[in-house]
Amino acid sequence: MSWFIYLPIAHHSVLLPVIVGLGFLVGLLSGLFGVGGGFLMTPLLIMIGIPPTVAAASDSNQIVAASASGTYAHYRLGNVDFKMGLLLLVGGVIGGTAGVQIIKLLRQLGNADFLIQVTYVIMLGGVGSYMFMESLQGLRLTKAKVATPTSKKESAYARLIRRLPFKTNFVKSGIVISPIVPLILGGFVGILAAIMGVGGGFIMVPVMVYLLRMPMHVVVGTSLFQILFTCVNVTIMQSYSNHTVDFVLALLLLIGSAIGAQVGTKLGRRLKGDQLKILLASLVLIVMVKMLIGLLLEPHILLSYYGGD
Amino acid sequence: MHPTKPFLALLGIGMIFLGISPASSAQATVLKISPPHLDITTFFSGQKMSLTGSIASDQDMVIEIKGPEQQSTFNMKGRVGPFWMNRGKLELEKAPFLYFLLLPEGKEWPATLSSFGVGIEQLEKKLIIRPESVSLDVVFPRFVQLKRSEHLYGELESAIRYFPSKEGMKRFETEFFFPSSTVPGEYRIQSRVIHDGKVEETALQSFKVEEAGFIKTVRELAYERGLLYGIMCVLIALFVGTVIGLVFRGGGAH
Repeated sequence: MSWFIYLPIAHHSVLLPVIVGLGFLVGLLSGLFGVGGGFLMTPLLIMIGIPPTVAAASDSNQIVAASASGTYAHYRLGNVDFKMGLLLLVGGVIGGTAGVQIIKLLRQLGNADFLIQVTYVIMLGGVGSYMFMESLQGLRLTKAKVATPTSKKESAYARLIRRLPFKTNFVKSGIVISPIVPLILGGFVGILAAIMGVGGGFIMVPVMVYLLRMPMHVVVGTSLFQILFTCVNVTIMQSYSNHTVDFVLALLLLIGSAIGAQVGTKLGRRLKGDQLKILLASLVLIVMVKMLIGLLLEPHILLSYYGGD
Repeated sequence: MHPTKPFLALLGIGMIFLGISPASSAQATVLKISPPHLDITTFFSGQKMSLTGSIASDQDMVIEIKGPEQQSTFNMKGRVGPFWMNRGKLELEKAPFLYFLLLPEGKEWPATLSSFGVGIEQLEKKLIIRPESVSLDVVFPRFVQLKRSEHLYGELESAIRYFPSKEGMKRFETEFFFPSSTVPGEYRIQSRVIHDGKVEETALQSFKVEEAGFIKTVRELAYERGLLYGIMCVLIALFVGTVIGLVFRGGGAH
């Protein structure tokens, strides 16, 4: 039996264990942190010769399986806030539509790619560093068993949120806020995700943790639930409009990623919220450093296929 | 005088001018291609083909394999301050997806052949670039570099081997490996018999690469029923994701 398999849409032959292994690795991250993993999977697929547009679209299809598997696992653990997830999703769809128009405008003005990539690096660097420092502090405090209650001064953001109408109880998340907040924040993430060309998990997770003050384990489950719907939409749109979803590639990836997501979820349960955050922050910082190096070093070939880096 | 005679005379003069003998026009040298066509099936990982034939002992054979022509879109990289990034989009038309030149050993072949319009560098003349404001002279070397890095373009020296045959003749033999990233379509295999720095014979044969079986079914579904294909992809992903979730249920939930 041959270990190679031909991908009908990518027009490329791949080694079966390599693709299943890649899927497992990304599924593991998905189950652990509630991110889609597109930021990692798409460049890896391009590296093994898959055309960029096919890599991105097929990755969306495999994320459907990983997030379905992960959402189910987190649902059983009581970690999915469906109400919050739906509001963020609606905001994300509206924001994503606006983001597509913004990117069109930016491209007409010129140098849009420059703006996007630099914003991406700054954003990843900022979010990653803040998350890393904050989690490190949290871990140190836990170790020192400091139990002295702190009387923090209420921030302007907290005051604003408190004043908003239609307060709703989000039982799973353990917070009472106006549904306008997740709608606006979801819209903001949708705009950024459309501009940067990523799924948004990387931005959504810190937004849920720091701006919605949701517990980390519920954040992971709810993020996966939201990603599931986003990727269902992307898979169908890409299949219909661009014919870039490679079902064979996605099937191999999703077998690996669905198993990886389960293992990741189990692994995540053994870790504390701060430990999970510090691991995710490290991952965000690694991606940021990789992007920065890519921006500073002269590429080996000054031409690339459209849709890639 | 027959009306076609002046045309034939002009054609003859043209062929002599191009160094092609009228007596040895296309199909004079039969190139045996094995296998005669290529089927891409589920476990395809590239395919070796052999090209064989006979020529006079004082002649040389060069073989060009190219096709199918494509229109592709690229990003041009450039510097903005300290950063390297995409600085514009361009389209190239009439560029073959694959191009290989198989050469026999000895002599400075690429230099000799460029005078006949053969070789990677000669492809530039046929390419169309859009927008026209972008210089093809700048883009073409980068395009070739990209194709070479994908192992889709090359000039393979000493790829054709000779073996003694019957008196005054020699047998030539070469092998070519269609890479795993081969796309379906019609490829052109052009053989040229060279003697004393001139092309004495040329022959053009086509070679079909087609998808078959499961690969063909999936591709047809993706292109002809995109919406159905997309929904099917999502349903299968949801099914596999949920089934694996259920399989792990026993050991996971508490």
